Amino acid sequence: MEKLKDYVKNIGKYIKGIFIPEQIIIQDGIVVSPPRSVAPYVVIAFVFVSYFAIQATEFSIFEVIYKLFGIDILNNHFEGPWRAMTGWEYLSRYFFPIDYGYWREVISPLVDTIQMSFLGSFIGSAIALPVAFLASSNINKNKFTLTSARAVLTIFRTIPMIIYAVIFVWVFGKNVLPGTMAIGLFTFSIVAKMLFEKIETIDLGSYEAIESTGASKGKSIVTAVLPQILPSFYSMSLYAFEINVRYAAILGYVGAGGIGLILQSNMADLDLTNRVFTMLFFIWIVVISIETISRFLRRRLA
Amino acid sequence: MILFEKVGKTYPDGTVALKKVDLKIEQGEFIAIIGLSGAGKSTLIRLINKMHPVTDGKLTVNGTVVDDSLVGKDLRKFRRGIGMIFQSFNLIGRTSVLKNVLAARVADIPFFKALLGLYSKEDKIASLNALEQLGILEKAYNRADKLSGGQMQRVALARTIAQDPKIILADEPVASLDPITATQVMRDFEKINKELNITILANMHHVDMALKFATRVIGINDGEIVYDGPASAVDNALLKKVYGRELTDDDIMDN
Ligand SMILES: Nc1ncnc2c1ncn2[C@@H]1O[C@H](COP(=O)(O)OP(=O)(O)O)[C@@H](O)[C@H]1O
Ligand SMILES: [Mg+2]
Repeated sequence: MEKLKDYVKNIGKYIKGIFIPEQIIIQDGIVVSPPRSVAPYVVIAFVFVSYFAIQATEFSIFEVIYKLFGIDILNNHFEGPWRAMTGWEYLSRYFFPIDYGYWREVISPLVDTIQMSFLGSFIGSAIALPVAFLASSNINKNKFTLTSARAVLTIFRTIPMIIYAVIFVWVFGKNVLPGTMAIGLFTFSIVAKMLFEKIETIDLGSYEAIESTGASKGKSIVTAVLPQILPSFYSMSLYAFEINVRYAAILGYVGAGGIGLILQSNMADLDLTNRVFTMLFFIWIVVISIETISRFLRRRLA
Repeated sequence: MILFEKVGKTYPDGTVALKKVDLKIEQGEFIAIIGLSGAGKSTLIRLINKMHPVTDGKLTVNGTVVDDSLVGKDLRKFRRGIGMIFQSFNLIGRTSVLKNVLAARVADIPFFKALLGLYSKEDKIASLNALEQLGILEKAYNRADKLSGGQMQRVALARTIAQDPKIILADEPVASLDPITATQVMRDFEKINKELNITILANMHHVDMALKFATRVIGINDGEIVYDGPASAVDNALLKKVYGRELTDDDIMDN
């Protein structure tokens, strides 16, 4: 009981201690003040943001339960379900059975999707490599080209891939070309960004050594810097390819070719049929396979 | 011949690293530059291949005046004849020993060949010969970053030999090695100096190593040359002048 009283009495001190760490006095009366931590402020900010996010989306776990299973735990009298059946009934009825025979129709657009992703990832990465060197402050000492390269990368990275796809479909029509270009641009912007950050961390000693032999800047870079970053570069490109296969499936939705095209025609009016789930199943197989292969290769590169 | 005439160096931030340096170095000399950390040793050798530009006086290296007009192609051609060795070896990681040595010859091949790492047969023979001269031929196809410190510095030396230079500048070449390995690497320098008649200028933090291998010693204190003469004439009084204090264990490697 006494102890509890102590705690209550000192509660203000404990709270203050979270924000302002207590000074430590060591021998000879020397005072050591630990630096203030940002962690408590981050936690408070996180709680606030989460609160507003829940408010904005009206996220309610009880509503989700009601719409999925038709059980109104707290008697909230939610509206709906918006169809004649609960979400769970709906999903279980249409999800299965997977129509394996449908693969004949799926296979060609699926191959299109993989080709789009592969080609886009390849071209995007190839362009990213030289641009990453332009954007590395330890390699490129020219302020103008450095700033321009970075500005271009930031602009390209800000635009979502789906927007590129819409624009390119508008320019080039509905086929795999706009999809490939959208993937290429997206890959370019993220690989170049990851790569220049990597280049900025490497040791330039060997670069200085090769430059001291009378080699030009360009030759010194390809001889001394390139071998050090190539494994990371391959790894980043493979990672981009992994992401792209998943994105590419959506791109068809705006007409940019591949599996997304038939996904869209089958999903008009949000009418889910087992064909949609069959397609998702095949996409899933492809994504998992590519991820497995890619991960294996990336581990070998590390 | 390397000729310093009242050479000074002031860095862009205003630091005066060298003041009125006069030096005359003949082909084939083995020179150790000693002095405290911050005395200006690294600055001195980096002026010679214009890794840093001279800001005062006149520097002439084998007939070429190393001034602001030495740029671009001319500068690269000039550097071609000067090798450089570093304390941290500065080998290219994630590549083979042979590729590291071949890199010394990249200045002479077209860019696309450099990009693809395509070297001629002569380049390969010269590089392998350099490795053989330093006794590490058997490591040719090993990864350079998996070697010991002594082996790495030997690969760096082989790289420099493959460059076929007239002068080798070495910035604290043995400072990160243990005494035994350091002695071995210094012997390699000695051999190269004698057999190939290459001028060697080595910054040495450790006095004993400097006196043991160099024929001529240059002592620098706070950007000024306070001693320049044969290694045999260096005594304690002189070292006190160079170091501005009694020697400590730190200044001697093998103790
Ligand atoms: N790039 C630089 N910019 C400005 N000052 C430098 C630079 N490099 C060296 N210095 C300064 O020049 C002086 C000599 O340095 P340095 O030649 O590296 O000495 P040492 O190699 O003998 O230790 C030091 O005061 C050092 O701080
Ligand atoms: Mg130094």
